[in-house]
Amino acid sequence: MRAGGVTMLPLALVSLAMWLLIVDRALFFRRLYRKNMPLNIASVHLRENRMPDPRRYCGAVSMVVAGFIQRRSNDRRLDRFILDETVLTINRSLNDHLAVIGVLAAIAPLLGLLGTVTGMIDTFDILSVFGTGNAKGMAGGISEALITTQTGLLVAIPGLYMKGFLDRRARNLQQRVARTGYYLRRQI
Amino acid sequence: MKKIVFSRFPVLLMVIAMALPAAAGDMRELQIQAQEARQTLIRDAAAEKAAAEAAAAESRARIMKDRVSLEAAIAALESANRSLEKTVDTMDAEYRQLVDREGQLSEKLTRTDSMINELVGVIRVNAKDVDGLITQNLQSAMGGTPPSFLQAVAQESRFPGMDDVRALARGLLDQIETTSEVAMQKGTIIDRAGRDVDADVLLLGPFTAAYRIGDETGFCNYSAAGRKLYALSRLPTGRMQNHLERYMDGESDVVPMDISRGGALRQLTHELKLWEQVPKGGPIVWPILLILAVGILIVIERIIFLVRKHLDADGLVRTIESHCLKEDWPACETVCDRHANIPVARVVKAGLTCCDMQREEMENALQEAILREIPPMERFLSTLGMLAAIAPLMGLLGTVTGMIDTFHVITLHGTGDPRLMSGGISEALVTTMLGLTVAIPLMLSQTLLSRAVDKKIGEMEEKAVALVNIIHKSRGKR
Repeated sequence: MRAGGVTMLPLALVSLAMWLLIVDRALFFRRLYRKNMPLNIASVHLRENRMPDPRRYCGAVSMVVAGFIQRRSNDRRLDRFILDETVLTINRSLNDHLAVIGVLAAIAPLLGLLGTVTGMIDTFDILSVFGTGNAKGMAGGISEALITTQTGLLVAIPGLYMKGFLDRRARNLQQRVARTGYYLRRQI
Repeated sequence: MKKIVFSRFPVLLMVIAMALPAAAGDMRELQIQAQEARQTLIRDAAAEKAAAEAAAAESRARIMKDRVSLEAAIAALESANRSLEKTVDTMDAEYRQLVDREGQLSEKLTRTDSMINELVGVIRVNAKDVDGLITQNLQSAMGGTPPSFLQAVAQESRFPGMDDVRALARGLLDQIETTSEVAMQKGTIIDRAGRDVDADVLLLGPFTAAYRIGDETGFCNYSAAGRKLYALSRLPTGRMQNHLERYMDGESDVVPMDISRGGALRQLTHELKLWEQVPKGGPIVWPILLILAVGILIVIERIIFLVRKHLDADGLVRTIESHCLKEDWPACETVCDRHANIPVARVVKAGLTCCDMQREEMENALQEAILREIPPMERFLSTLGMLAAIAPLMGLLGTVTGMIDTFHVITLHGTGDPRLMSGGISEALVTTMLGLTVAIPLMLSQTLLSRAVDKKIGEMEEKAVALVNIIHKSRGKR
């Protein structure tokens, strides 16, 4: 860590923030995936105007049902629009933070490159003072250059993978929410 | 020889006498006269002979006497000669002995001489070493004996006597003693402005010196030539200063020191801060900085805009709903007018003005109102995204121009001196670095801002649908 010089601190911060967001999103999506409510039970809830039990059902479908029941009017035509609104709100919240994760993962290799450049600058500074004779002096800069590049890639590659994973999962959930919306529309 | 002359003289006379009568006329008289003359002559000759013989005897006696004395003298001289020869012989022998001895002694002398020379050489080398040690030691800047005697010895201007050797040993021991010390004392150093000032000086053995003047804390370098400590032109980092200060106050027992005797500290002076590197990046740096400035302005403007246009839309819709169910339309409109400059409220108001219409027409009116609100919210965001995309490209451009410079230098001067190439390389690296440092925050803030705008737009759409539903709900009750 110390051998990497000043660039390691922002790298560490970027990595920390990225992983916190990734873990947060992953847990959120996992909650929406798990304990899903079958669509026929959802329509039963809707008909009986009963809030779904948050201990049994905490998936995406129950979120739609709960959101809709909170706001529903008793006009059938209007209820369809209110359902659309609920689906829109939920789908919008699913994309939160994903862009930030992506940009953090994209920044990490740039920071690594920055560390490489500062390390090479150190090396050439020593070169201009001592000439090529002082291999030990140059080694500090070179190790800084290599370590930051390596760290940047180490942060970026899993970050990009997780970004893709979360994107897929979010799209999946959005489709599921939209499907629930279409299904429930028919039931109202 | 004399004797022979005397004996031949009468014979000659007789020959002359016998010859004379042959020439004479009167032979008789002449004979008598001749007889008489001959007798006188014989007498004279006899007398002369006697006298001569006496003289001869006398001279013979004298000669004899002389001879005897001479012989005695000779004998004496010969004996003297013999004794002298004997003396000469003995002296000769003595001389040979002495030559032998001299040979031995000079051999011994050369041996001793070479030994002494060797010894002096060793002492001089050691004196030079100790002298170097003392002058290089930064502790000698804070008092201590001046090592002049060592220089005299080392520079071969003086024969190192026993006193010098003792002084050398003493100096060396003193060095050992002082270099093991960590001392804090008051002393004079040359500060960063080049003036002599009094400061608290912390000496860490022979390695590092630190100073404190007022609340300025930093490291000192030592110049052996002037025997002076001078403050480094650049202060160390705040963390290092804290460490030093706490060590000086005795609160901590950890202190940063430079065991390379100044090498690391010199490196500290060469270290460049970020803004000092900026001018090294060449002309491409300025457009990148311009992008940064414009980007920051846009981000600030957008944040202010979004914060000012923020409203608790859920609360607003709830209030409207309660008024709607009572069919109190003027109250609804006053609620919306209270937030006249906020998009959600404007959209809701647009919905309220056409509350008598059919559902589709209301939806159209609301859609129109939303579309009217979107452009000011998204203003500048695409510019910001473009700036975030351009910044690293500018950095890349700088990299390429820097590399072109480097290769120009290589074609001109070859690869012999890496220092010549480092100008282009540092340009390349600095622009890349700046491009990235500008691009990363711009990219991040562009994403966050457009996310926020998207959220607002979604909120408006949602509230529009909710409003239509509320209005129809209240109509249904009627």
